[in-house]
Amino acid sequence: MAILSKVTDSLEIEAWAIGAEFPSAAAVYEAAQKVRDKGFKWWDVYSSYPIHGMDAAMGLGKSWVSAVSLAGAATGLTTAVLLETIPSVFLYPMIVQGKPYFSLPAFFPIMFELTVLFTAFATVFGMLGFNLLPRLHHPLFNWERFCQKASDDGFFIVIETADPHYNAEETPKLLASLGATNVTLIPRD
Amino acid sequence: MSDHSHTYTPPEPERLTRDIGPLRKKLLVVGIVALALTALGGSLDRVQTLHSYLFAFMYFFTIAAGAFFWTILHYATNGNWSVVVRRQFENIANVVGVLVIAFIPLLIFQHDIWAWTRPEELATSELLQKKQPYLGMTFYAVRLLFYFGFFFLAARFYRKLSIVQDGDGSIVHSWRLRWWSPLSIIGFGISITFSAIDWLMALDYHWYSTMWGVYVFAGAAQSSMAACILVVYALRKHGYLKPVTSEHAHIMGKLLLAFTVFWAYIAFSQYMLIWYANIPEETVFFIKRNIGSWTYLSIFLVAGHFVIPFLYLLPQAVKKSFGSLGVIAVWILFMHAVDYFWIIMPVVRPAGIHLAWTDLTAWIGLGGIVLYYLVGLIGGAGLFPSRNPRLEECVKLTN
Repeated sequence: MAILSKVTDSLEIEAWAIGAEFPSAAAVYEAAQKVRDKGFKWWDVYSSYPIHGMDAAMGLGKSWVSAVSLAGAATGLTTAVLLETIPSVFLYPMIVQGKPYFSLPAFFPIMFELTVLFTAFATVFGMLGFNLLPRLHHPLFNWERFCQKASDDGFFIVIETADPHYNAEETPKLLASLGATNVTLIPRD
Repeated sequence: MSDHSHTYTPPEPERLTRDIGPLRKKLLVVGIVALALTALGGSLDRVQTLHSYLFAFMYFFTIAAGAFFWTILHYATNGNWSVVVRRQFENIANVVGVLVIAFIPLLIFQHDIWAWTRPEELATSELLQKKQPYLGMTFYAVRLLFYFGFFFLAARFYRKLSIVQDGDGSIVHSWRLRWWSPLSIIGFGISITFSAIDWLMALDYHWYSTMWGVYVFAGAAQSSMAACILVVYALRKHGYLKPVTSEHAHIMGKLLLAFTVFWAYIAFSQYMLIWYANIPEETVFFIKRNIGSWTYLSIFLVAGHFVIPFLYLLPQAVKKSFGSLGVIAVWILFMHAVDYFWIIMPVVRPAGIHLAWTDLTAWIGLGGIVLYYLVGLIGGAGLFPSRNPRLEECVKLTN
């Protein structure tokens, strides 16, 4: 195929994925819907800014980071309750300003803060975990054009060869028919 | 950011097509009958009935004020999500037109509600004499004129120009309203804070809390969002407001959740500072509400006004449907009533919780009149600003 660039000429290289560039956010949005409808699962869309509605266009469904956040919130709340109750009531009971040992109003700010703090940590690290980050390298960076444009003005769709629907003949044609340019096989190493 | 979809057909302007006359007549009859019963109750026990009436008045006043806040906030932030529901906020804000008249009984019988307005109180209380520069009749009259003048004129102004735009489609109206919105926010902040001080905090002129205005504002913003969700839900159930999608429900649900938390944050902060400092002139407010059965209502307020709506609104799916939002909106509007019952009634019923029948008749009566007026406003204009320049962005909203 003439569209494929030079990398694909050397046959020994194992292809990790096939990449395609699109001219605009609108084009990549519509192409994503088509790719979704073909039933692909191991693929992703890249742009330098968030495109509203892309989740639905890719068929991503709901993110479950919120479940990790909720677990973090419960952990934070429990930690605060124990951290305040055990010393103030059992280990070092002291009368402060004539208040009871177990003074819920005084404990609330800490309970609130630790809930927020643990939720924030759980959310950030949960997000990183779901994204399998951090990592030192990614096969995607073997594609030079992607490296030059992805964080600037490029819109890309990358379909991995591991996808059950991937076909060395059909998939590049599909991408080209969706208006892609620079359809490229990306090597694994 | 909606440039990815090429197709856009502007939604057809909508107006109420069904005959709202019979509904309005029913509401008016209910309102007048219930208010007449309240007046009868007033002849039996004037002080209790006037507090019932103040409870009903504050309930609807805060909802109208909150709806006005949402209207001007949308202009101040130049928001696009709200265009299709904004007309309903404008309508709810405009019921202040009824409330201006509804305040008259509270003005006539003010001596029975606010101790500081009684001349004999002024003669004997040194504290009140010291507070005269603020709690004096002249300045009070000036403030009343400002609250009602500002709310009434500004709410009308925002609704009127928005309706004019439905006709001529000129962007100039949007610019004008945006230009006025930051000033309106200042006027709103002054009005809601000082009206809360004058009508609620001054029920006991000994007491003061610097967070009182924010507390009232938080409840107003929360309950007016709930009220708007219900209006939108009702209109959609009858086949109107077709451009409103689950995305709009999602945003309104998120704001409802945000202000549920905000109310709790403010309510708790106020409580904790007073509890911690333990100064008698501050704690008097909470001691009154922690005696006898009032304690249980205080705990119920925390659970019902915060914990239940907070947990209910956490899942995303709940916020994306007007049906599930409607359920919690009804609950929040009920808890808003509990909140105002809790604020006002311990002053005249220090022994414990007691629900007088005039509480219900005053609330139903004023509610009937307010709804009678609101339905008229909803029927009197397009159901959404059909020629607003941001309508396209709003219709295509994703979040």
